[in-house]
Amino acid sequence: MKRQNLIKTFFGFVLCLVSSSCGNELSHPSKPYRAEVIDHVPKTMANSEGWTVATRELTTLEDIDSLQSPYFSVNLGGQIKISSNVGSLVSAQLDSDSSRAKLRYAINNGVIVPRDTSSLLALSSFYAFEKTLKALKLSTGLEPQTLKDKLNGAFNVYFEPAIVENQGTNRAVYTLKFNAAFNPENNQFYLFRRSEIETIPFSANIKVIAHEFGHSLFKTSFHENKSENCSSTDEAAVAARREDKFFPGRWNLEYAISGINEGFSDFHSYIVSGSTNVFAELAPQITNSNRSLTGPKFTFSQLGSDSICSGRFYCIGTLFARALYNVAQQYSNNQTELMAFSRRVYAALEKSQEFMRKPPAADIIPYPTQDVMNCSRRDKPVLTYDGAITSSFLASFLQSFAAGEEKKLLCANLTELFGTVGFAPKVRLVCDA
Amino acid sequence: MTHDLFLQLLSLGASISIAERNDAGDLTTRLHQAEVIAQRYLKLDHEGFFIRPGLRLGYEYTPYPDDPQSVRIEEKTWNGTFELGILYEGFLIPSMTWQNSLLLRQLQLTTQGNLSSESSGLPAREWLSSQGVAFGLGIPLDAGRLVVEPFYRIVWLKGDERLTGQWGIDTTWALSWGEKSPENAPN
Repeated sequence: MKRQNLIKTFFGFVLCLVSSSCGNELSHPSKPYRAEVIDHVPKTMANSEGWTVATRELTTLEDIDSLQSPYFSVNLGGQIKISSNVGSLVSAQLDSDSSRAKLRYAINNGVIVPRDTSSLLALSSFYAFEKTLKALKLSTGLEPQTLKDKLNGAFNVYFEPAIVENQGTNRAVYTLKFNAAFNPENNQFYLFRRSEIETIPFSANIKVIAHEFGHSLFKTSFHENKSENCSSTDEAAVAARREDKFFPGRWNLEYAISGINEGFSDFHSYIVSGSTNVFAELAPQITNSNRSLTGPKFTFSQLGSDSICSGRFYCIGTLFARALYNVAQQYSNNQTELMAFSRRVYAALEKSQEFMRKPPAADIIPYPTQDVMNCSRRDKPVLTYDGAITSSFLASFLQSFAAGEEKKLLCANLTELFGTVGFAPKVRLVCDA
Repeated sequence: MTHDLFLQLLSLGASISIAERNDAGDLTTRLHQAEVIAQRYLKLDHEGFFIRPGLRLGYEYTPYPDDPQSVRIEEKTWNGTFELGILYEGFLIPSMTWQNSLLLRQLQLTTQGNLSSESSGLPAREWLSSQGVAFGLGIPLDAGRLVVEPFYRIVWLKGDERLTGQWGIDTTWALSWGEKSPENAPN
């Protein structure tokens, strides 16, 4: 080849290399960070409920690339091993927190603008958690720092983690979709992979985030900030539970208490987002009126029939959430009073387990069934057994409410929805106190 | 073995490829790319060795299998590539090619239904650049006029670290015009 041709080729190549400097060098945004995120627009007198992609301030965000605030961080990816799950409560261990995914954004007039869907959803998740935390003081009376201390530090949110399963020497990695979860053992939240059947993505949906956050509040209140594991390997320990109504870990296993946990979380979602149905707008295929706080009425004695309510223990939760919601309606035009009621609910939950250990609530609690003693959970209700537990819980829960119109209304709603099976007349004396 | 291919001045062709991209959840998504190619073969002094400068123009389509119905950020990417490869003419044609690309990516925030957008900040377009190394193995057909070349390409895309590898097939046809150029004729 002629030398001249080689030189021409070489210079052409160099020219192209020089053109490579046009890649976008990112100027780092400054605090307070502002970002384009998906935000929920609550229903008002003038407007219907909606969603928008708009610029919002992320007031607690300390580092954009690691999505960290003093109270929590949103981690992209990670790998978790799930050992069990009850609804959206899971027992899992973090296998690896390394991720190949990175936040991608541009800076436009000082605003962080996501450059792909994952980044938009991860930033929106951060915003939704931050919004939930901002409501914390009003909705529960807890300062974010107090909650952080209770949870032994800042909590972690895993955005679209992979699921790892080890069977012998085989290791499978797969992805869960269309769900979110809270892990009470180590105070982690999981926002599973987005899905094409979602309308408003779970991970950016304040209703879902506030619901999952409600589980963490149920842990710090009703469960007295404990996550007690139950082991079925020690036969002597299993046998001893037959005579022990309050063995550690029992309430995590009880069908009725799992339902109350879900109901409180739905109520918390309503308090934070104003939405009466966590499932609304999640996907067109799901029209779960069983979870709606304003859906068709059903009562405790009708549980067990899938044609009435097919949501297993969630149905008990809906009854509890509806009773709270019905009382909250008297404050619907007064946000201050509504939040004060929410704080009374949280304070009552904090005392509930303590009252359940004392008569008369303790007397009505049945001894654990064989499956609970063996640390397993039922998938269907047993009305008399579960009703005794809800009766004990409701009597204990109501004990913290001061006598007055609010307590009367709450009693009336719980009586109507739970009936004589789920709220036994002999423990309703608390309503007269 | 010598093919007539390298006596020609120019080859034209097309390429289809699949690029792999890391996503959250340890997932890998696949992008589809189509390119048109123009390459020239220049003989080196060493027996059987050629260098191959070339140009590519391509379009990249990104599928969104998991994105929610109401919101997604769509990408459409056009690229122009200058490449310089070295290859050995044998029974097969192994090659190694350095590639420099300039990409124009169009980003669009798409919302539907009850989700609206007040966003004005998403860059409508962005310029990106990438470097890559492609390893190919050409299969000469029709006395070397047609070359089918499977390749694997490692790409460094500045500003988008999601992209990893890319594999595909180049198919080029040697244009036949004029007399054989003495300077490029085999020894």
